[in-house]
Amino acid sequence: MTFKLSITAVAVSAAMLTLSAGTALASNGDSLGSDPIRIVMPYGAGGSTDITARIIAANAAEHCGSRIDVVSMPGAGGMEGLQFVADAEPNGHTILMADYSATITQTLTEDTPWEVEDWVPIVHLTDWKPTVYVKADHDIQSIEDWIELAEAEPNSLIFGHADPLSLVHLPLVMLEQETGIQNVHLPTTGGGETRTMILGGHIDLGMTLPPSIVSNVNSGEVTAIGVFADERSDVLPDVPTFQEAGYDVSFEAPLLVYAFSSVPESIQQELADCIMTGLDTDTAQRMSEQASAGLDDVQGLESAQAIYRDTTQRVKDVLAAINQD
Amino acid sequence: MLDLLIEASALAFHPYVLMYVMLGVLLGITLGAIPGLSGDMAIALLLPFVFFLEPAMAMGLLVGIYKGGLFGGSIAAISFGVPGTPGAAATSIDGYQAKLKGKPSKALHTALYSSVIGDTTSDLVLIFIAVPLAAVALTFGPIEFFALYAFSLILIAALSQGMVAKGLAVAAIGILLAMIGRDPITGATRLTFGMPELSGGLSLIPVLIGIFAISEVVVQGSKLWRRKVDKLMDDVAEQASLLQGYDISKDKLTWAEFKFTLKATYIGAAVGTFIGALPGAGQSLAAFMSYGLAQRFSRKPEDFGKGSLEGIASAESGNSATAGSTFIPLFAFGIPGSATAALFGAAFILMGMTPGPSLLTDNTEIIYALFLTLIFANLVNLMLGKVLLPYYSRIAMIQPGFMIPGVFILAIVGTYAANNSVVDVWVLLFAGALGVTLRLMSFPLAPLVLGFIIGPGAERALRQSMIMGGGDWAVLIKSPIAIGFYVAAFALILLFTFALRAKK
Repeated sequence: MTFKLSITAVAVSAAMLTLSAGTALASNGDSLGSDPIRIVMPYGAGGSTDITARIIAANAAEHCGSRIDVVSMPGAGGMEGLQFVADAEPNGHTILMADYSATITQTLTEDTPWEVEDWVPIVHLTDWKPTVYVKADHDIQSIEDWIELAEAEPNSLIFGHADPLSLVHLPLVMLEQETGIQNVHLPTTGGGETRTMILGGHIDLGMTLPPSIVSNVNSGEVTAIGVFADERSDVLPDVPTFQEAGYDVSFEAPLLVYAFSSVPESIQQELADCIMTGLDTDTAQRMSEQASAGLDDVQGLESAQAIYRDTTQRVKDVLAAINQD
Repeated sequence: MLDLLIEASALAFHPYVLMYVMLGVLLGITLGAIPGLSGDMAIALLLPFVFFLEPAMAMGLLVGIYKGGLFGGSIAAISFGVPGTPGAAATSIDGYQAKLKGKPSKALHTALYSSVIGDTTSDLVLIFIAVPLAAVALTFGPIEFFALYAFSLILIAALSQGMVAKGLAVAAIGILLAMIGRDPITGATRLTFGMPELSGGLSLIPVLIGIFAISEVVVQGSKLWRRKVDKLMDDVAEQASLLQGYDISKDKLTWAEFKFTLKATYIGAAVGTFIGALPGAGQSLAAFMSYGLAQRFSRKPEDFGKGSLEGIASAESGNSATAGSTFIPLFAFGIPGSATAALFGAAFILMGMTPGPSLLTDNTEIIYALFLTLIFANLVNLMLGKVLLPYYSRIAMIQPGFMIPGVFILAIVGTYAANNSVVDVWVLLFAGALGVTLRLMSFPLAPLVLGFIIGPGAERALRQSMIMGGGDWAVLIKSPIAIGFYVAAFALILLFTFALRAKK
């Protein structure tokens, strides 16, 4: 019985593979053609990345000349999504949308079948600004308070961040290198758990992305003390950057659209152009504003590649510093 | 509050939502009435499709299936003496006897009414307790959470059908499976045997569907293979002869009889609600404890086991009363207290809502809509049950030969669709094989799934506590809340061990 069942399973999965491969097959030389485009997102459905991808799908389709589907592939910590894009026919119809954790950090720290350079960023959608915050009645209420207290008593403050080496952890490592302070690093399941621990007074500091704490900041439950970015966040305009406080640490996380390096350059350019045109429309901007997606300054190929190189170098530096310890 | 209620009502009483609730109840009763199939299994199979529905509709569908399934189990229990679901096992004691004495309609109606009363009680308790409890939940940090997880895991394992050692063993297997993937603190991969596909860990849906549905289908299939249809046909003939000369007009449940069963129903409602709120205790325990208590307090204890309507009422109200309260730990702490709650938890996550203290504050409207749907589904259950009872008792005879391939195909397609992942399909098949093996060795399956779900949280909380306490184990008993949980776990285990002994 079990034997029969597994044959059925193989047949069914094989049929599905053929189906999905079939849709990606037809390509017309070195231009995009009119077959559907798939944006693969290595995260679960429903998150902020998903919403951004859907804004692209809704607005860029007519400019790219075909339907755009958003595919969520969170399997294997996102690696399955990257694998899927890397394996796809190199005709530009299967592209990736992700922050740098998947393409840079994981590629550098793990045994992956691709290099960092195999991911070619074609559109720079927005930058997320990692923000440090505390409970409103905590002794620490500013960057200066924090550094002072941490210098006086090293390893006495507990700092909650999401996954280790994630975009809300690396900036902390950089700041510690810059200032020499030491905190207890506490990994959490993500922004939600960090926030619960801060509100419950179980930990001292936390790092997250601005949209997830805006309502708590406005209601006076938590205080955002600093932003790891070159400029202040639009949604938290009163919160200073670490540079303003005199610490030269900035680590914004770019959200990028990537093609795999085997996709011809003319197609990469074509994709970048049509996505940018689509996002430059009134409808796209209205949707972005409503969803706080921050798509008001979308940049093309050159800017995307520059920030990708820059981010790669930064991640490499931090990782090297961690390995030294 | 009033505004909120109006907004929630608008969501909950949308015509489409109502339609999905009815569809769900219909599906649930139908599946529950077929021995071996349960509402849980239907929910597991439908999980991936939840994503394509509006949250309120998806909730309506799942709640409907759940409630319908709870009652549906009693139909097979009463009509054929085969409990359609584990929770209906106690119902079959008196239910089948009552039917043999020519009172199937009385028995089925008693089951329906007590089921609805028990369920509604439990829902009300959920609505009024989950909200204040969620506020307390902020005082729970890693130390308290580890105590709560440990409490849940111990109870889940210890209470599973009285097989403490087997329960603990499969819970441990569940935790082990959950450890595949990334270390929650360092982020390094572990137990992946060099397979990058496993670096994200095993997904919940294929494990759930594999353990519950695939293993069930394989076991049913091989049973079918062995006895073919012969025996089933014999059963049908036997049933038919029993029902000859049966006059339904003499088999109506009278008001006096109904009133007489009410005490047993209330006992069941109270016991079921309490047991349901404990993580891991489960429907069958609730039903048997209610049955035992109702017998002790009955004016006619000698009728129990011989077709007593009180017996049916207590068992059925007891198992249905777990329906609302089983969500309390899920809503307040994000810990699923039962397999069903775990499935709903997964559905919440698929709909972009995280179970736990922030669930209520972040999604107030939809959760209040869910509360309304819970109550409304009981009315639908009552109505549909009443209208369709005569037909439903025949459903138990649907040939498994048609059901099995259908369920199998749904499981594979559903799993693939959830994450667009072929790896998940393989996980599904392996989980199915594991489920079959464990069933054959008569291990309970629920502790495994709960271990799989609770394991990562427990490990994370333990290691977070250790980091915060600088590596000193004593940090675990620094919190009075934590000490309370350890003491309560110990006390409850003693209590249940003796209660179960006394019953035997």
